Amino acid sequence: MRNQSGKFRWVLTIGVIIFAIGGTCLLTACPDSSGSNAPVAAPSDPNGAGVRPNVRSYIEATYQNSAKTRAALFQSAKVVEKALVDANNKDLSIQHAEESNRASTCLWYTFGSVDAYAKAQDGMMAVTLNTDERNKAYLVYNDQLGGQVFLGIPYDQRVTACDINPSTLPN
Amino acid sequence: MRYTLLGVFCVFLIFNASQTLAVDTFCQETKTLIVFGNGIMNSEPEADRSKNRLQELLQATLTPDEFKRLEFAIAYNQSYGLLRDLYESLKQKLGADNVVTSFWRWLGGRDILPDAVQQEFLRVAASFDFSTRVGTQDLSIHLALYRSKTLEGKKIVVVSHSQGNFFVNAAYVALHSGTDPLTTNSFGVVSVANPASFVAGSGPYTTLFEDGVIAAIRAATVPGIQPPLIWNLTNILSGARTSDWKGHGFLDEYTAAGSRSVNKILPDVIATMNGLQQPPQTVQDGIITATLTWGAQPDVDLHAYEPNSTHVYYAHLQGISGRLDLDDVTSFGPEHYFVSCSKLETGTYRIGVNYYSGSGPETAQIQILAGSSVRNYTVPLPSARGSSGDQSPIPVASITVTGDTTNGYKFDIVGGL
Repeated sequence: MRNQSGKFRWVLTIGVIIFAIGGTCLLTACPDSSGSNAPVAAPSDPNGAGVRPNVRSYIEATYQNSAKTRAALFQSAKVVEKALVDANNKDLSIQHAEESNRASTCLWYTFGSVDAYAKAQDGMMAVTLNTDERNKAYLVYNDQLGGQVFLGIPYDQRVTACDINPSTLPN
Repeated sequence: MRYTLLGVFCVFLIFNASQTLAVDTFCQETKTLIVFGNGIMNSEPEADRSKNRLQELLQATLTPDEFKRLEFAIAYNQSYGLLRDLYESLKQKLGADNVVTSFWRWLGGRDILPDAVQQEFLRVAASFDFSTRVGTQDLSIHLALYRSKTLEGKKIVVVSHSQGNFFVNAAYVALHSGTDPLTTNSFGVVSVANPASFVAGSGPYTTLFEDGVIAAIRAATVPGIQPPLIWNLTNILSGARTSDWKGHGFLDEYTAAGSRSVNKILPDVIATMNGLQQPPQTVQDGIITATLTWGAQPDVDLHAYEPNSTHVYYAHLQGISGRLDLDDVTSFGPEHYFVSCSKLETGTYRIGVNYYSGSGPETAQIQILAGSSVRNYTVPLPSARGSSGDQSPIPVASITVTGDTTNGYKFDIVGGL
């Protein structure tokens, strides 16, 4: 009896841990979806820190030959992540939307045209919003922005929207 | 202080090799605000792309001097939860797994849409009567921006797409009525994919024959309700590289490269802009501005504390870096404080209000613009405090400025401090 009770407690403890990790992972950075426990490789540039491993892998694999592109997409991906976490907070959602627009402006500068960056950004978003919970959180975030106004950055100053100056990156 | 050199930035953003700070400081004299007003199936980043597309098109068309006189913004419209409704209904029809991984790619036109998605999209788009739904409360922040830019002497052109037309039509009525109607013809509308029965101010419109959303709305219009304006153009056989299954998207259809529609919309925007009158300039533009409005009570006052500790208010209009250049004592406002680029200080500016005189509760609305950031605050004012409130105004927000003239400045606006 005592042995069974101990087992039960052990199973319960494991269950609580799994539940806690799983719940946290719904909206925040989680282990790679592969479930691998292998150490996460360092990002290909400093802007990659803080981006979810699966998103980072996607960006690094898709844009192997351009550090500028990776840096701009990392900037955009990090804002989406923050927007998901803070989706229930209107003030923070507005702040993240401004950050998101700056990241998009950096992408625009980097890719050279709206059509080109839109395609890349949609690809990144599809990898980022890969669960029902994340989609719902993004919809909540987006609803927080209804009725707001957002100012643009002058065309010839778009480079200032980049967290990392593209001219400092090799390619 | 007026900026004297057109196109010359008062802050030079010179990036050096170690520069990693994202700055958003820019100072240039502009004469016209171009606004994109989105439809309801647009996420905010998609609306931002549409604004950028307008910027891209105008940059390629206007002379550099003409283009530098423009500034751009998004008036992001309420979706009333319709995107969420679409997401949930698609999950029921197609299974959660399909929709979870494809929803945003479908909306963005990246993946081919299953027939069921197309039908559901059109059903949701056509099922909502925006003509009765859009209220001034939904528009209050848009209106505040339009009014503050008008005070700065700027013309405004709103390019409204899809259901965004209902919002801008309502905004036009609000701007031209009430206690402080626009007195000049300085606000124009260019309508794209219009589901409404008119364009405010009789502005131009472009609706395509192949626009499936507008066709669905027209088909769903019940007797007694005015149907959408009839189509007036088609991109069919134009050779344009349009890629939108519904013939409705601002980017993939209406402004697609080489399309007949982009070749109409762009001249419409320029002609509308050129046809507007420049409103009289009542206040100065600035890298930081705060605009206060309120209701019918006689007097609410705007206060600013500068980083140098100067207290700027009605009794001390001139600060070291800013100035209260509009003071009102006869109801409604506005009052206006600005900081020019040349006198910007690092540190924290604090904005507050004092309910000076009145006989009942009042509400203050404050819009703060700093760099590319905008924040709006509503402050309830229970009772007037007279001059005793001058030294302890109600805190509205703080604006913290960091950076320098070499690398540019960054602005953080925080409410309630």
